[in-house]
Amino acid sequence: MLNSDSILSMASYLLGIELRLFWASSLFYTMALLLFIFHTVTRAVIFGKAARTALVAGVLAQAGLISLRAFEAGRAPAQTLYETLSWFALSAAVAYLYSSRRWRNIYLPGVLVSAVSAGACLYALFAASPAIEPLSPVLQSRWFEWRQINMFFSYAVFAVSASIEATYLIISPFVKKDCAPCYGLTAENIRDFHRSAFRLVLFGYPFLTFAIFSGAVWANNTFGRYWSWDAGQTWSLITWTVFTIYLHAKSVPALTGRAASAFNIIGFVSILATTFLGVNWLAGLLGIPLLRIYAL
Amino acid sequence: MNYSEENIRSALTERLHSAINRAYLRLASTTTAVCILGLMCVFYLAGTVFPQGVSLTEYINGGGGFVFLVALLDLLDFFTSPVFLILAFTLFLNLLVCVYEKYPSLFVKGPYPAEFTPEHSVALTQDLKEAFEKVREVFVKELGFRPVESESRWNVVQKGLPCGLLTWLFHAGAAVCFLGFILTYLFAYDGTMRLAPKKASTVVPRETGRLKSLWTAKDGPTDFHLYLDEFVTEYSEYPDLDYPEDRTARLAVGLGWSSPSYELREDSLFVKDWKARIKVIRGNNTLREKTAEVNSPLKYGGYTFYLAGWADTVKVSVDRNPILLEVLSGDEIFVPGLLDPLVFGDVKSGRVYRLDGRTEDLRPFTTVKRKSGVGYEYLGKVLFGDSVTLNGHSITPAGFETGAVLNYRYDPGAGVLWAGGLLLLSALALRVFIGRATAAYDLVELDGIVFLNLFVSSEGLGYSPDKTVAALTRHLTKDDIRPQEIPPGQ
Repeated sequence: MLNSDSILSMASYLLGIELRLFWASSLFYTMALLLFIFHTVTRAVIFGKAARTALVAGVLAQAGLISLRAFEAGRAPAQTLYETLSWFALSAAVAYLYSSRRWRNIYLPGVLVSAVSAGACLYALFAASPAIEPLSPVLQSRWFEWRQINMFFSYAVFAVSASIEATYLIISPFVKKDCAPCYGLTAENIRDFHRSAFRLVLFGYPFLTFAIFSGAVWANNTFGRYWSWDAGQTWSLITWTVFTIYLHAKSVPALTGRAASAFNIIGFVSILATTFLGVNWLAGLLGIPLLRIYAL
Repeated sequence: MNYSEENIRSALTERLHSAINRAYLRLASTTTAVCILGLMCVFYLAGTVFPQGVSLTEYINGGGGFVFLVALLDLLDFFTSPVFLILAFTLFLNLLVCVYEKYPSLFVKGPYPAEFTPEHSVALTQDLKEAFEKVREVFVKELGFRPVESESRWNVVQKGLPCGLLTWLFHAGAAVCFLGFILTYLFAYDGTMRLAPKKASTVVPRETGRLKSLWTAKDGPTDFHLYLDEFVTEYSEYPDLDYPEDRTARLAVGLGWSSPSYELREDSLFVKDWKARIKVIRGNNTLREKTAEVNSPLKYGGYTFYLAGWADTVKVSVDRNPILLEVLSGDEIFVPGLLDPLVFGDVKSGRVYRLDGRTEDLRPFTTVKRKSGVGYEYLGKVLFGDSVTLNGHSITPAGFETGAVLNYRYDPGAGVLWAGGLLLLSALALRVFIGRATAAYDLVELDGIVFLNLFVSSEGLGYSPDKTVAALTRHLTKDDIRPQEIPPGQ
């Protein structure tokens, strides 16, 4: 049996490796972002391809660190802010790489996705603690684990969808006007490209729905109330409602165009607001006092 | 014109019917759903911006603005305000009407359009009859499609799940969830109780649900009692991480110039779990027995009992006096001979799980503080049986009792919500991840060549039209039918 000192040394050593991997993945995502920006400025396909490669490298490093942390912590590593941001960054990059696998020379949505992944990683590294601490009894629940994993996974998928939507909104007028390829988008492929944004929301929506339900089951088992209108819960409901509107708008001819696209972007903004700015940011912005801290 | 009473009544009835019809049609529309959901979003946002559950005075004293709006719309208790409830109820009606409207369409087959616009056209070399049989065989036997009745010349085949039914089911699930919310809103109530060790306690509610509160202020006491048999606390030893707060220093860790390190400090104990062995008793009968934990409540008689925490009663001996003083941990106690009151902290007792895998029983201890001006002076940690001497008086924590703090809740809506949620989630997952593929094909002979005109569509993510066309082409190529795809419109 190892004594406490040996256990602590090993834990410190593993955390050191994990942090280096995390910094490496952040570096790869940042490189990908810069290369995607070069591609946007120069329109050179080579930068797009290089950016994609950097993104793959970032994903491999991050998958490694998440596996290492799962081994260290002995649980799913998606429960603290540090862990959820890491999971979010990985999910966004993987969702982008998967959905873009059949695109030919289309790299523009990568700008937003790599910015989101790099931003999430750097935010976790600079603002959150990487310590693996024991979970309080309240958080020791499979339902809470599922909530976190599914919620941040769906957020990542929605972020990729929003990047496609934004690209479509910016590029489609040029494609329609010139009929010439614009960043790999042509009159023939732009419809399928735009449809992938809808398919991503469709894919992520059940995950977010399940996350909200598992959060409610967890809250009910722990606090005796499945819903308490705390800011965290309400923001996830706002995001869910916005994407519900988006999916409904897609079936209404009058709303299926730019109105639906706007809802997709609004959904992404609400994700950014909750993930990076915190749930009480709007109150702070309007100068409204936070007189009650909501319990999770 | 005759303005008789009958005519006026008839005109009014007609107008009323017309208004109801218009309202019904409006409620049945998806655009209305989009509008209501949009408004709900704005309302949710308002509920997160303004602090909920505080009084207007507290809000104003805290420096809050928009006071007129806050008071008018009841923004400090927004989620139970009339404005919010009316909108939520309208959404519920919208959902009900949509579910009701879609119900008959579940039993209608088709109708498929009389004409499909072919998206793929394939030239086949066989004669018309043979080609027809072959294409049908590939669709049904190789690709698993089933023929669907169609009144047009097009042959329609389908694969997968009935998407219309699944869409209807998850909307119905959402309506059931709403019903659960309504039941909770009308009938749920909760409270807190303390269970002393080895004593029976009755649940005496201090309130009742919103609806019942119209004729009675509180529910009666339960006919069963709760008995706390045992309360156990478990701790785990956890290390602190020596890790810099400064960003540059953090970057240095990432570059390998410095390393993070875990350190074990004295008494770094973390509450791992707390458990209460509770019996439900009536008379001499034990009706139910359970070890309740934080995420595992006890359910009985429509109530759910959640283990919220514990409360320690510390028994104190002054100058070895056998008559003990009793005080709840955290409360102030005046000890004879001392001017300032003392406060005993939470009692730490139970099992400790050490980092190296050892487990041991903790020797119970508490902490002592003395009131000093507006604050407290920390006097230290005291093991039970040991003493601290203050102003010449020996203060000995001689013993303690740990009771359980339970939150209880009566909520008939929760079960309904889970049932609705299960229906919603399963139907939604099947609809989105499996879905259905529909193919329509037509064979025409033109100048001795048989053409297969094909239209494939899919709902959900499980089937891809491109993959279906590719698989069909592959199967047709396998034998002597040689398809040659030609661009549509030729």
